[in-house]
Amino acid sequence: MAQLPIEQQILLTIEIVALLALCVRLWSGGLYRTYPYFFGYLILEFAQSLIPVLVPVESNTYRDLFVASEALIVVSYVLVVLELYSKALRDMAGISRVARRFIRTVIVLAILVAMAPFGVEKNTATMTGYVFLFERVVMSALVVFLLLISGFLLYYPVPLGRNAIVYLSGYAVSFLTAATVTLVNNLGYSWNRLLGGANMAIFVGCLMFWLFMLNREGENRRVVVGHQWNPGDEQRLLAQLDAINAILLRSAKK
Amino acid sequence: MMTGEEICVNLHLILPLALVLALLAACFAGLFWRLASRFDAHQCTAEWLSRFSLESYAPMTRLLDKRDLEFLASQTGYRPEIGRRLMAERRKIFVTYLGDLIRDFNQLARVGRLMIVYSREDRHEFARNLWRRQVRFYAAVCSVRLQLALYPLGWPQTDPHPLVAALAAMRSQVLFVASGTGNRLENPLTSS
Repeated sequence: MAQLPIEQQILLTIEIVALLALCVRLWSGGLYRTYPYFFGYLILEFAQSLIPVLVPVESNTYRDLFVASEALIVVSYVLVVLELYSKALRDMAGISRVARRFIRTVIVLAILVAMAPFGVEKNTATMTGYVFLFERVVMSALVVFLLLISGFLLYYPVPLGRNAIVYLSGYAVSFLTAATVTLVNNLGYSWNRLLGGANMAIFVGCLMFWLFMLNREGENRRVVVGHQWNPGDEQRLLAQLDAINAILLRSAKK
Repeated sequence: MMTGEEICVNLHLILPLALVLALLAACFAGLFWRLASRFDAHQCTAEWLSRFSLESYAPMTRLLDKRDLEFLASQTGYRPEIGRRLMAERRKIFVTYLGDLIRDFNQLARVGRLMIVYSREDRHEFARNLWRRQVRFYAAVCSVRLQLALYPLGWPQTDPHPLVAALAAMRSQVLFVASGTGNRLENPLTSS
């Protein structure tokens, strides 16, 4: 770790502590059962963050371990996003076919958009270069996927718990940052210290956000009224929905 | 130290990237802000639905009818500026009606989407029809707004009938789905 710049050492220390705290929080709140892939992703991140502590940064071993763990983490990104949306759209019989078609279309579109910068990226024909290219494509596709699927969830008023919004927000910021940093690196700019530090800082911010905002109560599937999660408004909303239905049925019988 | 050429190349690539990044960040921020405030109970209420009537848009269909202007022009003492003032005032009233019509259409569409989400059966046909109606409606709104803008330049009469018809069709669709299978909206709290 001593070979990392000083600001990255500090950020890495905070990151390790935050990851550990978040894992403990998910475990104690039982959320690891609800989001097993997210929990697995955090453990992978924790393991990767220990590599520079245990292995010299300039060594080939560090490079190999980092690249291997990075490939696993990138795969876990896909799994956590799919896990979140499968939970959000679970039991939504009314939009099941619409959602499936939309997701299929969005995946294809996201991959096509993500492959657009291929022509300008300069990667070495090494395992590290391929992994970074793979990472950039996957992160960019996930950003597009998140954007379009969030639009879908906005268009159809699918009830989302507070935790779902918190996860979404954290993923969006984290993926957008990682995709941008990887793209800039792949374009051949060697701004490692600046971009590496920025990426770490933003990731630590996301971890803090999840740490303070995720809890068991946030799992309740609620329709949010206004910007406040007010349990009293849920009963009123339920009554509204029933009243709407009654009026529609009455009007249809006329 | 970078050369001038390197700085230009950097700006050529980094500036568009920064713009795209800023745009994406703004889109995400807007989306999540909206996601966190999804169902405004003051907007989509049963009281609104019980008060809703297509009859309130009947005056809209003849507000910009040129026959009124022709009649006025045939009266003694008529001056062109009277006609211009009359049509300008009527256009303002028409724009108010248009705003209300768009709001009511969006409300009905919102009710339709609520019915889809909380339905116990798959509603992909209704969802598709709802989407198509919305696209056609917004295209008609754009057309009417363009006609309205060109009206002072002598554009032929603005025709709001397609809009009112679209609103009527949307209402019929929502009523049809509500009555067709006795669809009862599912309790969102007990469904999880």
